[in-house]
Amino acid sequence: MPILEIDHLQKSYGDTHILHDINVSIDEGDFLVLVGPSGCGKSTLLNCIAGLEPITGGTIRIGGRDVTGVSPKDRDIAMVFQSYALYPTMSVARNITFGMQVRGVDKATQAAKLAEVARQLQIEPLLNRKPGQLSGGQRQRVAMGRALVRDPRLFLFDEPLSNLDAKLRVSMRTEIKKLHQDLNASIVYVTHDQIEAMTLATRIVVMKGGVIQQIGTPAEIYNRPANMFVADFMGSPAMNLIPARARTEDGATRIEIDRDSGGPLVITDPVARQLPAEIVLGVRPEDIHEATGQAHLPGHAPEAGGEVLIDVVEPAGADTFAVTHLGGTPVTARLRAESAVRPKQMFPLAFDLSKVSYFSPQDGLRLN
Amino acid sequence: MTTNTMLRWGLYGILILFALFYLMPLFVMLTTSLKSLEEIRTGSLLALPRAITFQPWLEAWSSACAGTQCEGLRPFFWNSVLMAVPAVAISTVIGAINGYVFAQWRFRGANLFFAAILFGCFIPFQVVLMPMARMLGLMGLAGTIPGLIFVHVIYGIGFTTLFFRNYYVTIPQELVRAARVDGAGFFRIFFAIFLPLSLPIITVSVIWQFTQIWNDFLFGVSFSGAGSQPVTVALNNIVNSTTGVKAYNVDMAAAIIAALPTLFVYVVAGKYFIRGLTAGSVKG
Repeated sequence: MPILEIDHLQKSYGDTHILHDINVSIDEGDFLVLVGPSGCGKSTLLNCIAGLEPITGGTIRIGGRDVTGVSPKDRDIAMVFQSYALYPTMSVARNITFGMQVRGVDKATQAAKLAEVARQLQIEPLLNRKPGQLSGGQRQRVAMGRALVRDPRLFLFDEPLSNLDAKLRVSMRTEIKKLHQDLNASIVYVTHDQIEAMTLATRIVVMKGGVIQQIGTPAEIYNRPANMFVADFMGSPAMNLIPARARTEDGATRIEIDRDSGGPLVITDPVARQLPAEIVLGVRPEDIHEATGQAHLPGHAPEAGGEVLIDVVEPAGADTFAVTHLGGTPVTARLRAESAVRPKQMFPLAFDLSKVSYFSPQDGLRLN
Repeated sequence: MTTNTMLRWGLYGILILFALFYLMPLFVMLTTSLKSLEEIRTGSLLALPRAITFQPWLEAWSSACAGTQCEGLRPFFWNSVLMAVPAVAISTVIGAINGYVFAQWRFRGANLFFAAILFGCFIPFQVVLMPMARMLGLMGLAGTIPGLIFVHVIYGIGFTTLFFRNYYVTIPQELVRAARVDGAGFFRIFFAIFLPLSLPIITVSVIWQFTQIWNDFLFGVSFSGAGSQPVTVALNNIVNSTTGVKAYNVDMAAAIIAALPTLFVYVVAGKYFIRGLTAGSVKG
């Protein structure tokens, strides 16, 4: 049974439509990440799930129960906020037990649950402090403790790591993932950070302008983006989106890409695809390698590419990024660290055609 | 000495001069109230008393004549206390709840409501005298202390709402959301989360309201009856009812007595008043 089902959800303020026809469903134990640029409606959607914002149309079911008009406290959810929203005048212990106190849970149970959660999050020494006396990471833990102690059907996280510094963010990310695995909790998590989305999620919803662009596993989203927006948004450095021309010839597809120097770069996809004349070729930086000129590995698409002029070389330790100019846009290739690539020189690059995406330049939709 | 320190001393000099200027009336009042009438007539206004006497203070407190009633300020002082304390308390409580609603529970038309309440701060006292008199008459509160409390509460709500609203908008809305998810309702959130944060702004509201209400003369003279006049009205009557010689020393003593409570409130809570007024910039 799905733990959360959102059916044709609409949300508008007057004439301004914030969310358009949202349909999402997740199973028990799923980690759903809502990701998108700011203003895409992801936080609003989370608030709608929480019941903090009324919805204009559609239904929300949690654990099979229709909660569309139900107040937040009766939805069996717990939420972690971006600013942590700890009650400033209460001690850490009272912050965590406040919800139980409001619900009239008896003192002994409160103490037992508090002790359990404090041990789990290693915040036992902090229980008597006020939120003002805690560091960012500690506040984050307390905020999670407040959610954990509720033992709800569904956890909601609203950009919980965005106020932490980079290093702490990575370690808290791992902890959240571990927590999810240990508890087998069902989680809806909002972030604008696509790396957070990729690393945490079992399912990702990419949103833009109040519309769902794609729903899928991290691998699906990464390897087969549904449109150019998703392709560009997910992954760092971003997928190269190269304007190109396509035509079918001898049972294969020939792709022509404009080059700054010399004639167009022509590559051949051995599959005959029904592509329009004008396309956008989407290829991830790691799917552009140094051309070896040798026969490709068995079962792989043939090596396709040519010599290009390299503009910039960016060594990044484990990899070296080489930037060239194709089809009128900068194109980044992720090469081996020891690559002999030099700026302002010609260098042979090959595209892994088994992994490229073709998009329509008109509506940006995926073609293959 | 550098120019900088010279400027500094110049600044201090000017500030001290202003302070003396403002303290001068208080000095004259205090010295005059401690002189006998004889000494006032013969001596200089600025001179210190030759022989200190507390007789004028006793007279002002318990036997000076306000009109035909010769019991001093004492009964009127209590009228003022009975009026000001409940009026301050009620207007502060209502202002706190209003401010909480305006800041954290946005509802349709909230801006219009808030604008209307703000507008209430700018209505001159004189404009409401007639309608208020009629209202009090209809409610059967004309000429009574509860009537005065009612008037001051109504007039004060605009200010107290403004204070609390501006203070509470600095508290992140996520706190309310977190509390709602935790299961707390409207009043639970107010009492458990907002009220404990409110000491600075409660101080501001109390000082402001107390000063306004205690010092008010117009409402006091318009809406009070024989037994319910506040101290400001009585002070006016004492100063104006002279029998032959004008007792400046008694008048001065009476004026100081009438001003003491507001002075006391400022001295005790003034520090918090400044802190409360600037509290918006401090994170909770």
